[in-house]
Amino acid sequence: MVSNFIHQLFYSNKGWFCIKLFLLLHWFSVIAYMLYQLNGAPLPNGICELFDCGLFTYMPVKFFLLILSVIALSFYCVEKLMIPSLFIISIISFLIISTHESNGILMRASLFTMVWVGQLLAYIFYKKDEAKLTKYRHQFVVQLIAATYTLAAVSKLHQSGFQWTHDGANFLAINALKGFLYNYYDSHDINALKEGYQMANLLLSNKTLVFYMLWSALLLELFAFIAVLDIRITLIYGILLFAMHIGIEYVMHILIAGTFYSMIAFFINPFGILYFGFVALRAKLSIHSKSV
Amino acid sequence: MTNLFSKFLLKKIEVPLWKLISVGIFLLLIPYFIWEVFWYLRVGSNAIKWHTYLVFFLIVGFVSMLPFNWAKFFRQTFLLGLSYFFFSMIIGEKHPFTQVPMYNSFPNQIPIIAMCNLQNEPIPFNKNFSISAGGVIHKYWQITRSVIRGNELYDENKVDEMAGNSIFQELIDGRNKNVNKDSLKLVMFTYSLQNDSIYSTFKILNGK
Repeated sequence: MVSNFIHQLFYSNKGWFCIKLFLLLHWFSVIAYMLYQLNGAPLPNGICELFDCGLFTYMPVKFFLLILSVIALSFYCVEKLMIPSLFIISIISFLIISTHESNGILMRASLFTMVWVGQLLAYIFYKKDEAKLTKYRHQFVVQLIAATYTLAAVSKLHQSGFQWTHDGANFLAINALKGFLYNYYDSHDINALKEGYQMANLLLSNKTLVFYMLWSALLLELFAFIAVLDIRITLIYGILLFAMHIGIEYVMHILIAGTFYSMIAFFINPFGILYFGFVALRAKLSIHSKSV
Repeated sequence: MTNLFSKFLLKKIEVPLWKLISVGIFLLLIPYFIWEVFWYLRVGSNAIKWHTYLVFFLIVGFVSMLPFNWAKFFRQTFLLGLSYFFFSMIIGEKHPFTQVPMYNSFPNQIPIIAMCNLQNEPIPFNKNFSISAGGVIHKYWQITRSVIRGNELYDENKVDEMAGNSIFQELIDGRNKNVNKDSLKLVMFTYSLQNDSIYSTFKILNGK
């Protein structure tokens, strides 16, 4: 029964629709916010090193990109013209995020482009095989998300080695304070400053616990690739990663939207859980009322 | 006798192409592996360059194309993710590739940049300026990195001044017009941890 539920969650048409809806809502809100913020590309990065991305900061161009993405997302949502729609969304995502990163403010939204590329590849490779398409349009993206988490762990080991957890136990307090200080310097809210110092003191007085929590996070990220093996593992891994992100948000006031929302959509599918949970509950209640 | 000899010499040997390529790659890998180990022993993890990842990726890619069931499973389950992994390691921080460097180390000091009045009191970014405190520090890192890149003889104070001027001007241009620009200065506060106590110092990057 649980397996059937998970299968429906990721591989049924309704489950897939829920994933798409969750993803497009978050992607569109982030892209619209980035477009609103764009006012130049003074520090070219990525594709903007090859040509002037300042073009995308003009109001008519911004408006055109926004309209084009709404049209492409509409087709994507109703599962029509999937290859052209996904291609257009991938390109728009690629250009806008590259331009935004060329502004000097890194939003770490790489996955917000790759999730579209993964789906596009699945639709290109398996457009004539419905059964494989149903599996791989989800699984390709899970691979890319898992690779990003493994990259995060490898980056930590490459930069700091296994000393990372030890350094973290000693200095997480000052790094956690940073997020609260940002809030304080943004708003002058004295409570943010108080909360920051309370959190720093809490971390300093629980160094052993911090050490083991960091080890858990490192191992969770390093072995993220096993989430690709089976959708049941994907869901369990999604819940563990969700807990990790909530912990980071609580301690450090950091939520990396591109990674977090992509992971939630494809590893957990919250809209799907709500929908299928509601359907199952309704069926159970109707059986119960009939028996009464 | 002659017949037997020619029969032996002219014996047809059929070897699948993938086996020939495998042997070729294996032979090429031996000197590469020796070269990499030689440099690893001399310079440690600095020996791991883009070509190390590329060679590793090519081997994995080739193995996944072999005509076996396990290779097919590997190809369908991992190849796309692995490709993204290796290209990210080679290309680095260029969207959509990334090595996810956030918090890959825990420094013992953190800088915060703020606009302050003449009394060194910070002015809140919200409602007064178009960039947040987090955005300003990102800009600072990006500018200093672009100045420092490839320039080993840089002067830290000059780099800070250059970054400070650029950020100061951007903040001034995008400020709320109620904020008097003549009374502003850009200050970097540095928080650090010593014996489990938090200390802060400050340094003026730009302004009076």
